[in-house]
Amino acid sequence: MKIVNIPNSIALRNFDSIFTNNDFNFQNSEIDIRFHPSYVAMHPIGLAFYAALSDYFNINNIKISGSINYSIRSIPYLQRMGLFRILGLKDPVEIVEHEETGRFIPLMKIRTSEELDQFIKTIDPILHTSRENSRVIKHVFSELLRNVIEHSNSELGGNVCANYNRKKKRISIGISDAGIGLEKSLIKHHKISSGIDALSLALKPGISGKTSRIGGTSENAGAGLFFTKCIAQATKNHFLIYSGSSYFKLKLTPKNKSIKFNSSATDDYMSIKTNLPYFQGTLVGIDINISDDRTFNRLIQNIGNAYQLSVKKTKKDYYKRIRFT
Amino acid sequence: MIISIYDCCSNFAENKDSAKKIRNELLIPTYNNTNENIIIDFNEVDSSTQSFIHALISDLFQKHGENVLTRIEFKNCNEAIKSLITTVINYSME
Repeated sequence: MKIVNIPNSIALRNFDSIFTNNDFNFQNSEIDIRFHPSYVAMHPIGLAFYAALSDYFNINNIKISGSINYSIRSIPYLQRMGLFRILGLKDPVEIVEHEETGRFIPLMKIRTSEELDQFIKTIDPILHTSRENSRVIKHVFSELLRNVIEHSNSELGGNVCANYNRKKKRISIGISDAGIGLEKSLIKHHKISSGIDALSLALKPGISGKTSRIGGTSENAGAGLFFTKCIAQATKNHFLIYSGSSYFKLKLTPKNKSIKFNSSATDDYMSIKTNLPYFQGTLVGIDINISDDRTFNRLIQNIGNAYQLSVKKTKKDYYKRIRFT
Repeated sequence: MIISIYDCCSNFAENKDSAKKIRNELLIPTYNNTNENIIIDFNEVDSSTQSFIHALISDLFQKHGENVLTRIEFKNCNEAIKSLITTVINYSME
């Protein structure tokens, strides 16, 4: 029997708590999931992480059991977010259903382009956002989940969940899959000698897992993760990506430093950790603030300029010649 | 030829499969086989993604360069969509 210990707090800031007393080496073991006995606060990245582990267990026919302290105050939150259901455990408490909209998106599976289309359409009613100020959220969901659909080779698709802090106007998102991971996805067309190489390449503008050509193919620009990281950076939030034995974490840009969209992620204000317990698949967590129209427009323009400069090494601008009517 | 993005993709244009379909079935055949001007209409579309716009038009600009600008028109774009289109065209030009 192998034990998975769920710590009392998982956030982007303190993501390393997920490794406490865990080596995630599950070969031929039955799994017992143990929750911290007093309190469990979990960012959607934590929920998405355990959902991907559950996928891995299902793919490999590994049995799961759980030991839950029923007095943990956060059980209703974890239950509403779908954690027990996705782990194949019985929901521990009776919850009187009430108005949930405007607060969270529970763990969901996205397997196909059509499911993603449907999911995107539910965002505004679930989060009570307007079409104007949810554009940045939809952009992030679309880019990250299309990556899963197109690159992960995950037989069970991707996992997504989110919660919205109305006071801070901040949405926290977790997305995961138990697919082939970044390294295997990129190594087909790129030279990679370490997990850090894989993370750096995945975040580099113009790099796609579908071709060795800088700038991608007619269908893949290699821009999704770069845009997503820049959105977190511009809204002064965290972003984390974990795959294989390494993770990259974008830290908050200090107030006295200006924000720069670097072509190389290692030039960002960030931390990279290696030699971590091996994680099959890819996990992404991000916090973003819902911005007004002008901020979003400027953001897209600035990230686009950074992408162009990195990929083409030119600032040539055709804006005035494009016929916008 | 007028291509309505809302008709295929609703108010958030992100489905790259739809972009690919428009590109391969309408955009490229019309550009290559006729002298018609092409209008891509974003009326009622709030937003899109860089990936969608790339899948829609990048190939055409990579293959035919600046000449495409004389045949193609982008109608009813908001500022964010204009930014995405400009970005994709800027980096697609060889």
